[in-house]
Amino acid sequence: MRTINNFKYTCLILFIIIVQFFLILEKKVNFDKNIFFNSFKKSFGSEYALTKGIIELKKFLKLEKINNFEMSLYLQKNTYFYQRTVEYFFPIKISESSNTKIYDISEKNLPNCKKIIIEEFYIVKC
Amino acid sequence: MLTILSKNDNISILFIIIILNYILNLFFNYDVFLKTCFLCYILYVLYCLFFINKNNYLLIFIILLFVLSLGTPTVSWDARSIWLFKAKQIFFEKSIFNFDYKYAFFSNFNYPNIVPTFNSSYVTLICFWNEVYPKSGNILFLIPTLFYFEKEFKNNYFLIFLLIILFVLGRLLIDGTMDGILSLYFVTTTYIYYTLLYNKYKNNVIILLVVISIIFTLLKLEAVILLLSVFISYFVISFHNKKINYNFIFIILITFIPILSWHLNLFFFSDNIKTSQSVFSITAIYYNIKILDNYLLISKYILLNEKLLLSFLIFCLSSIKLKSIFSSENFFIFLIFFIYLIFLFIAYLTTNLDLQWHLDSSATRVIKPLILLLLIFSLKNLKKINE
Repeated sequence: MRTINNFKYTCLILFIIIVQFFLILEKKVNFDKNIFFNSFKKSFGSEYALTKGIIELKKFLKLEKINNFEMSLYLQKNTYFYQRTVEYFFPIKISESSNTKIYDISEKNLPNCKKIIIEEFYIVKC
Repeated sequence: MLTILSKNDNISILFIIIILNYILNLFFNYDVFLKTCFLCYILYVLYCLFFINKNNYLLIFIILLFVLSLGTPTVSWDARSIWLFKAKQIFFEKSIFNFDYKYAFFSNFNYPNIVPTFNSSYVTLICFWNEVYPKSGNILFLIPTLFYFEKEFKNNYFLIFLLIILFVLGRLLIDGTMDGILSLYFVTTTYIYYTLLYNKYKNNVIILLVVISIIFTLLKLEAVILLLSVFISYFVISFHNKKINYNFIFIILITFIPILSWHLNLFFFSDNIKTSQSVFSITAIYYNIKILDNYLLISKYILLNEKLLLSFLIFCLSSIKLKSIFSSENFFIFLIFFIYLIFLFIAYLTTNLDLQWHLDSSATRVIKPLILLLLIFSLKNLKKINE
């Protein structure tokens, strides 16, 4: 016990640390070298954490220079969609006074305005 | 001049820069100040890493954490919806007070913001937001605590320390959540208290304790409970040893001022805090306290956690081996352990949520600091045994 600071122990502890790192790498996180090499690119990484629909919606809003949007009640009740759009779209914000509203493609009785289909959503501009 | 500073002084400087960065985010909104402040932090970290705490294992450990963090997507709910979203808001709105607390109820607007401000300033270095890079700021944030333990544990003891961190915290170090940082800051703060309890009061250690305590309380709501557990234990042991220093206790009470101001600010300037339904309430305890099953359920989730039991056993064995299980040194740790458990029981009894669901979603997280505490102090006991 008194010789814990010797080379044999160093090798053993280092070996366990390396195994721990590999366990974290393999089992606990989804490490991907593509993510690592692109981690300093602007707006990178959303495709690994979000659905295609949400990513495409943001792309469209940015392209159209829309600063705020509204969301249908049906979509607001979808917690995943609501929370992910609020945090991912930021600084594009939800606003009740916006003339751009997002609906799910399954929703009926949409207002009679210009409609654009993006993946599984309607963007309605009045 | 820097060479005459002790390792403690250097760590204090790093903590002071973190606090300065937070203050800049409160009052200024110029990127140039934030960038300068953050660059100073990074340069000082590098200076410490290569000239003060020259430890190749630590250097490799930090590099590996960065590689893992930068190579993994940000998927954790806490990271995305709370911590990195706050950082994103601060980054785009340029100040803590510029962003709208009423926006995004789910992101727990009442949580303190020191790590999101740090990550936000970290992002100002590359000038744009992405979904991977910001969370790696957490590793930079916890580096001063690693420096502290590099000072305390040498050679293989430091390797065992790194092993314990990986074993207890694992992916929490790199996934953008706060629990890894909270645990490491908690153990560092406790260790400094412990040092002060059994050594002479030195000004530089008191400064270190004050700055780390301020940062610690601003990490998360449970940090205040953890710090109170340490503070009460410290007070009890000092009282028992007849070594109470009232000046010191007054200084420590000052460290709670920033977090109190944060909550007062929320109370007076945010309507949400009055209207939103809180997770905890006094009325819930009247209902929950009478049900025996609640105690059993909380005990099952907290006391029967394998990692906690294992670390408790290891700590007891190391104390027995040291022949000091009832010494005030180890009693200090036992006291923190039991006080925090009591606080946890009270917190869960005051929950407005379904208790089973609440425990399911948080129990393993909230005991991480205790597991780390027991294992790090077991290592300290082991070191003492071998000395």
